Amino acid sequence: MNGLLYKEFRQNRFMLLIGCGIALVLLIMPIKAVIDEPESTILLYKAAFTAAVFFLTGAIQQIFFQSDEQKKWAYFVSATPKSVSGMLWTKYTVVFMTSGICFIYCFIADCALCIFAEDSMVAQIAVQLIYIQLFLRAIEIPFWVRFGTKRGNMVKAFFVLVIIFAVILYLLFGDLSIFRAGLMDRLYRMLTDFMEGNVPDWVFLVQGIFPFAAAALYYLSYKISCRLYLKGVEEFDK
Amino acid sequence: MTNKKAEIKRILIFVFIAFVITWIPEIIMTKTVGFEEYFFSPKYTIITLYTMLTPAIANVLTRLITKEGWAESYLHLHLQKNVKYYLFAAFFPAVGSIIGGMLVSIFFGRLDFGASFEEYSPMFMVGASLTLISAALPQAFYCFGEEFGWRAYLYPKLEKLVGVPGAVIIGGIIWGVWHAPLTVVGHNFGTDYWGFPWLGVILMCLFCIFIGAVLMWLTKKTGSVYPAAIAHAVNNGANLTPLFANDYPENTEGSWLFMVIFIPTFILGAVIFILMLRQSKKTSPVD
Repeated sequence: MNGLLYKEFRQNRFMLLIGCGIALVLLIMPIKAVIDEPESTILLYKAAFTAAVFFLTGAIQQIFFQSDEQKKWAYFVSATPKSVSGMLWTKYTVVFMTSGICFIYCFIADCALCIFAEDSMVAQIAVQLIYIQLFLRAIEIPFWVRFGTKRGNMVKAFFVLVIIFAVILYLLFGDLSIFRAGLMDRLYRMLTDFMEGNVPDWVFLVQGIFPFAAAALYYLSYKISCRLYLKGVEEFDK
Repeated sequence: MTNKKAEIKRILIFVFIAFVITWIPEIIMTKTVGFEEYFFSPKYTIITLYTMLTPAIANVLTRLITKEGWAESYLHLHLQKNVKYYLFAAFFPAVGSIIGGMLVSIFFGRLDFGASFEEYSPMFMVGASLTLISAALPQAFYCFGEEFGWRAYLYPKLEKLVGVPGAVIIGGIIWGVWHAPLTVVGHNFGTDYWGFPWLGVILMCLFCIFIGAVLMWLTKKTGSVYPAAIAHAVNNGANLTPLFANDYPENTEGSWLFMVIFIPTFILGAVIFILMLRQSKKTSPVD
């Protein structure tokens, strides 16, 4: 696997460097505002920075699949001893590693920013985001493998549109009593209750199980991708 | 220079670098801002993060200075054939802390586990335990800093020189003494116990010997440093003892609490040490 791992990072080194550069700019750009008024800006800045870096990581993770969308490569790798399963194992490992690197970056940035304002660590949010990211990739990657990244994103967008259409139908014809006055207040209270731990015990159970379920789903996604890969090869343009 | 002398030289260089680049900032910080402020304030987390990475830095510097190269670096994942060891690494410290918590209730509180469970529902305890474990796992990256130094460099070198028993005992003592600047100001056991601070240093060495045996076994079995890093992270970050040991007197001495909480770790470490000893006797050449 080491050779395939090296190949992934070497092949996509420019995009990885650009991603690192963008993440650094995101960290440095608003730094003057943070230094001038640390107490009022730092928490929002840290949360926004963490979310932005995770979005950026998601875009980079797609590139690992996009760069190998060639029939020549697919047929070559299927003839090697590692075969398709070894190649896909490497891709899933690389996606996991980039999530890990993203977390490390956010954690170190969070620690460094605490020097300016002794605020709470936002890195705990980054921990949850890793598992959410694994969950999302576990769903997306089989689509990329089966249909290619372009068509896979279109298929995913189609399902999202179906969900949005269902929501619109509900808003047109469904029971709207839940949207009575004070909805935003209730949502804000729910969020603060969640942050303070004032929630029913089943919420704690779901929160505890979710990361392990995400990891199990990620492995299942790998198994599904192994079955779908050679069918998806026919969708590649070259 | 013979191989043995070269290895001793590398170990000495590694230990010197690891101690110097860790002790100097730790002593400065504990003397200037105090232990509580240094260890618990978010302002200085970047420095505690650095000190946890110093054994890895010492590993890299020692290899560069001695021109040793990068053989036996234990950096490969080796995940596919060793999933059970990775899972063991992720869960055994948490399970150990649960058993340790129950033992605290037995030794210092009441023999009534119903009382311990009155405060929290089973659903909450399971959810909170799993959340703590999952939150600790990503923090394996800075525990990697320690493990890349101790288990991926020092312990294998000691094992070649003095065998498994020597590696476990000497490595554990070195690792325990490395913690001394924090132990002597109250980390792990507080400051209010008989024999402070030197008993604390001895207890820390004892703990490092036993937990070091487990981490060494994980590293040898998988040929990878990552399971040890994961186990270390869960041990540090997923301490479930308070959930299961909320029934003991507040003035219980820290050193005694520690001894009881880590009974499961001591037993596991001893068992694994014996297994490694048997394995090394089987694989050593016949005289």
